[in-house]
Amino acid sequence: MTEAEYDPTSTAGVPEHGRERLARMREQPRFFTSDLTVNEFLLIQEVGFEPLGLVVGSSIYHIGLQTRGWKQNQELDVLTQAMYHARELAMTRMEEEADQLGADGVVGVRLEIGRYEWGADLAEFLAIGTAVRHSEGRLHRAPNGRPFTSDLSGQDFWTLMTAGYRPVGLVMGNCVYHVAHQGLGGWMKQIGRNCEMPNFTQALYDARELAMERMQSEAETLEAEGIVAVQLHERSHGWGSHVIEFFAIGTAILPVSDDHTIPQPSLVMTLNDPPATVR
Amino acid sequence: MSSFTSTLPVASFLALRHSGLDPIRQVMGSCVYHVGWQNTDYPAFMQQQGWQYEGGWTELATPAAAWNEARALALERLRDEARAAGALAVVDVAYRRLDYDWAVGGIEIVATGTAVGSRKFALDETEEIPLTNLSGEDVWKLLESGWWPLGIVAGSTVLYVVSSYRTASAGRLLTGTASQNQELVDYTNGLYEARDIVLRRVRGDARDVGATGVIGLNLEHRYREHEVERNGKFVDLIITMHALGTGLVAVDHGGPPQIYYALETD
Repeated sequence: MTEAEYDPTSTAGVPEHGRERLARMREQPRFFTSDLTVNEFLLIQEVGFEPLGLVVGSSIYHIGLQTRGWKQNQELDVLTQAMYHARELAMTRMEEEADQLGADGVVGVRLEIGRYEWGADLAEFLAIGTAVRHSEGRLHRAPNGRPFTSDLSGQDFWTLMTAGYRPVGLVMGNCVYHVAHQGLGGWMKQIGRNCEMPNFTQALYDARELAMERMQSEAETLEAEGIVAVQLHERSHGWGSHVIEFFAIGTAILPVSDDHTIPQPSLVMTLNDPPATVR
Repeated sequence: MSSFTSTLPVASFLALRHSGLDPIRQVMGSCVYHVGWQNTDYPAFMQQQGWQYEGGWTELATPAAAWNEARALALERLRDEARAAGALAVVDVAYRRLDYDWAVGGIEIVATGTAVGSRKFALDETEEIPLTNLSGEDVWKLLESGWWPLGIVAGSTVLYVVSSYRTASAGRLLTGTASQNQELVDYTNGLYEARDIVLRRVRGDARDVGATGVIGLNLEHRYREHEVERNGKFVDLIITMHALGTGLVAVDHGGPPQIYYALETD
């Protein structure tokens, strides 16, 4: 699972029409599009950044043939690689779009996967976020020269920045795992008894560890101090029972100062319904 | 002053009042539109032009125009109702796209919102009544921070994506490349093209109302497969994509409202 070579000036993965749109967006530098909510929009400006535009990367991907053993706990490497590679394609294209706009990074990144009835072996990968730039030109890119990416909301971004940290990149790891079917013998032994199913425990444990380990090694490559807001997703993506993808994703962060204190939180009793959102 | 009706929750209502906007009444605009016949036999057409088995795409003009027209009509009616009510703006606009089983080939766009008037602001004669899907609280925050919502900006497209020989081959296990992981480049390109078209329309709308930015942009798309026989099975795609957001302009340099860390009690 090597990281693809990244050239910040490349637009190789961005189709022609994506490039045209970006060129137009550069011509009118004051104009931006974004999917930010009002709160996010105001907070991002408050912390010194300006939104530059909605950036998107996508890839529609055909997943190859995977063999598996009925009674084997094993990683399904074709599936693991397909799911990782397609996400990487989508993310890299999004970063390239951000690069074209001269962004420092991308906030509020969402990574979505669509599966459709009409394409059983096919999945749609989509990375979407808002490119931002520091309004006083202080560079906030990741140490490797890429724009930073982060799935933190505008609110979390504000909080993180004011607490003396900055995001350096979204890091992810995945593992598609086949959980062995239980034999008849194993089933007979546990009829009517409380007992652990060590086979299953082991399989799920393993798969999770692999996904998290891969995510951590990405963060180490980025020279990050840590990862916040990690989410661990478990999904079957229509592969049927016994095949599960474990997917770990989080935002790697670096300190920008030694002072990480936040103002005293206040206890509030809000009169609002759950926060208003853009509909 | 006569009584008012509104869809606004209590906090929204008070936030608007606080920023000098008073609800007048609920307004609605809707349009049921029949989508005309569209030739989808593009591959045959393209083959006549010497096209072989490469992928490609083309916008399906009839359904694309139907979505854009229907939206424009519904929003214009919403604005008409607001104008009749003597409104300055329409806030909290809920925008919905519907289709019905009983209306074959028909789509409906419904937009409902609250028309607001003002003791504090006025539109000059050339200005259109701004519509926004933002809530009362959000409008208040924007006004406090020196931004004015200028209107709903949107775009729709329906795109026909012709699949290439390579994509068809990825669907065949024995004679093709189905066993390998691979990107379906023509589908990806089609998706990019659809996004480019709708975002271009959003920018056009934004320019028309004089906005310098768009927030809350919502992109939606769906696929319909279209199986065709051209010396073997090819699966073409029809992508329907919609984008909708609110255009903004900076009128003043305010700061955002007070920010604090909250330990909420609910």
